[in-house]
Amino acid sequence: MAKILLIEDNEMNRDMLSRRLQRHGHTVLLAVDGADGLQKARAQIPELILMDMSLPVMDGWEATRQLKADEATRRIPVIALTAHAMATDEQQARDAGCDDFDTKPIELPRLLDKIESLLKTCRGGIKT
Amino acid sequence: MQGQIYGFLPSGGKRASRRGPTVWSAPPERSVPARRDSPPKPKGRRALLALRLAVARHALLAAFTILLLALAPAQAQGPVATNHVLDPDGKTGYAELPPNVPRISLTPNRTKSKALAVEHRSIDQIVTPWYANAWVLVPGACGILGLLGWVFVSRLLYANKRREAERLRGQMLEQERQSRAALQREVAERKKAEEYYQALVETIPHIVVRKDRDGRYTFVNSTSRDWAGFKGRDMLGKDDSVWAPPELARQIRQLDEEVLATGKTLEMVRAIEVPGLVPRTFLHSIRSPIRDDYGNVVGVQMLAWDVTHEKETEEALRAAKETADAANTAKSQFLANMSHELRTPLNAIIGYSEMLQEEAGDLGTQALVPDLEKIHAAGKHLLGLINDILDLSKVEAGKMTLFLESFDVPKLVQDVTTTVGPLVAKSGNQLEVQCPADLGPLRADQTKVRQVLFNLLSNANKFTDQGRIRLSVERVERESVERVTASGGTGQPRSHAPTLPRSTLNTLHFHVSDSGIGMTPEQVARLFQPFTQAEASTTRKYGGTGLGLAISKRFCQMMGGDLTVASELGKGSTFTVSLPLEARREPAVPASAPLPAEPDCQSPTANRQPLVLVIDDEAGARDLVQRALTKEGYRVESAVAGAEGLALARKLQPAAITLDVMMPGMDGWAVLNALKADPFTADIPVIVLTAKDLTEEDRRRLNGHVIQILQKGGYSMGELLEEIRKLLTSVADVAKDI
Repeated sequence: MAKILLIEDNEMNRDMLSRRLQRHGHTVLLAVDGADGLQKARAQIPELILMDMSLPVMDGWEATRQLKADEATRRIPVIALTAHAMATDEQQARDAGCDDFDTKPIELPRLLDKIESLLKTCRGGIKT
Repeated sequence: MQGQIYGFLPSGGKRASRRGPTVWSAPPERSVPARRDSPPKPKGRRALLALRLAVARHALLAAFTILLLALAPAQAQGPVATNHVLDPDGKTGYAELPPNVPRISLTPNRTKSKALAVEHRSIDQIVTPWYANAWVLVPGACGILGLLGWVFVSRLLYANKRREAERLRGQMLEQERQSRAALQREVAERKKAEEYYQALVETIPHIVVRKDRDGRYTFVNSTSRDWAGFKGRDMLGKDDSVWAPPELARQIRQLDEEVLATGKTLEMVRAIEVPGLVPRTFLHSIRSPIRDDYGNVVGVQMLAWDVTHEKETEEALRAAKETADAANTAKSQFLANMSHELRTPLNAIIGYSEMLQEEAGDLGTQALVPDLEKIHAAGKHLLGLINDILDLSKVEAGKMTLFLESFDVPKLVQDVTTTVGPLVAKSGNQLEVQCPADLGPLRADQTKVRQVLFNLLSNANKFTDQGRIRLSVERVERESVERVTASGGTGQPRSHAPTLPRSTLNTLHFHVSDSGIGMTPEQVARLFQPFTQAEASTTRKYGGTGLGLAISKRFCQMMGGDLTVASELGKGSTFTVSLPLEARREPAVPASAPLPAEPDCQSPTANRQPLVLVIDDEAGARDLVQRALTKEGYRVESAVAGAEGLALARKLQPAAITLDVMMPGMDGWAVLNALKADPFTADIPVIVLTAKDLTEEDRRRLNGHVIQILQKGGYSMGELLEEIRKLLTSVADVAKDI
């Protein structure tokens, strides 16, 4: 299973999602805002990042841009999580460099599928 | 007895001379008055009468004259007689006397007893005078009568002529009198009319002035005098500088001169203000030229009135409308925000209940699972409601955007039926699907089509028990005639009937029918209203927000289609979704509209020039852009507020829009969102002009919506024009490619 960095400012959501991911065998790192997340990503190089977009200090779009601009973290897949149901959000997230997108409330099976497929392509990519 | 005796016996009438008694017995003086008493005769008769009178008068005159002539010698001689009383027996006789002895005639005087009157006459007297014979008297009398007749006739002729002349003169006098009276009457009427108009113009609460070519007043009514502070004083011969400050007077003169030069009427509404005299006032004025008999413009006349009140009302209305629009936007914004805020805790409820269900299984406390499922289901339901409200508020706030993509219809139908299958089975209904495989791709917002179909199917299922639900899809070819009618005059706004390219004339129809409870016509009428269900009791029995159909219909309309229903109470309902095969938004510039490759060489008079809509609240900036664009030959429309801009954009379908971001009321962001949400305006390229320093966030918000961002103060007119030129050319290329 994988090492996943979850960047989420809402404590309840953070707790719930991390526990559920752990239940499915993932190792979960936690960060509470964009800047914190950026720092932890650089320090620990997770295999995947789940990024809430509306974050304090530094928002998810900006954090993603910086991650993608950094050679060290560029390859880490990012899944944007947002409560905005606006369809424009997905485009904006992708523009910022996110590899995938999911809306809250999280449907765990769907999210797990996305995580699996991203991890598969990335690991494959690294191997080749 | 040789001598002749002339007896003058008063009573011896019979023997008297033939003329005397006749004449005297009928004196003319008596006969004339008698005739005059008779009633007046008609004209001809009167003339005859006058003639007769004249004849009688003249005859009398003639007779008298003749008599005088006849008697004249005798009278001149006089009787030389001596009375002798002879003898009482009364016998008369005289002796033979020699011729030289005077003869004496003796006549017995019977009245005087026995006396005898003796008259002595000389013999010459007794002898008949020379003229006393017919040969003299008859021709004489005839001559005299002829003379008299001539005199009479000539007098008669003269009198006739005189009478005629009198008559003519009378006629002339009468005519003259009449024409003079008419003239006087006309003068009086004119004077009255003039007084009337004068009074009208004087009392009218509008400014009425006339000026000569040099700007001097030739007429000023009292309202004008009051305005100019000349109450009761004369302003004639003076010009505007007597009341207006120099700058205002110069402006007025300029306007007057324009009318003098062009000879055209000039109408406008402008504000004037003269400190200490005229408070700020909006005047509606009409200036028109005054012409002389040869058509030369000799002056200007102006009619003006105060429209400040109207202006203020208009402004107030506009403000009220903006406030109302803003309030509505705020409401939708609030709903959107609130839905969003509700989703976060809901997220936790659903998530934890799901998680607990899993953990309950692991921990072996299965008894808790049903309760956890209930929490989970309630959370999901609540989420559904919130999503609906959010969708609707987004649609209403103009924030719903379409993501058009081509997709396979049969696959979509399969997806939807798979999702809805368990629901249908649960209600004991049968689902029948008819979807030809060769429908081809549909270009629309897949998510929304899916949502609409799911909504209709679950709706059908909800109101049908142990029945049949049918979903069928068909392709409907529309008559190409419709395109002609829809496009009509090219370049005209067609907000009601979007012109679509040839391929999109064809539509797809999705029919969802059920054998459920159906609806009455009244229920059908209220069906698509948000927050309304067919009946209040429906909500209790079947649940739901009553938003599903309202949202579905709006989604269909956004994609250029519609959602309709046919229903019969107790028999079931059929909902039909019609979507154009290609839910393209209308191109901003119709392909047929001529587009210039070189905007520089186009004539500004041509009406087909691309239209640019300028939305800016700042008059100066608006004016600047407008003038630059007009000069380049574009047609320009401008809007001073966001809401107005939106309405114009929809109506006029401009080729491009320039948009200011910082505007009171509805700001540029809101305008932009609304423009992009409306399928009729979504494709119109927008150039944002802003004085604001855009943040990264701002730029991100604009990204994808805006062709170009130009910082106010930081761009030149050349840049703007270049941008617009580029833009319109590219639109033209795209149009050509299609």
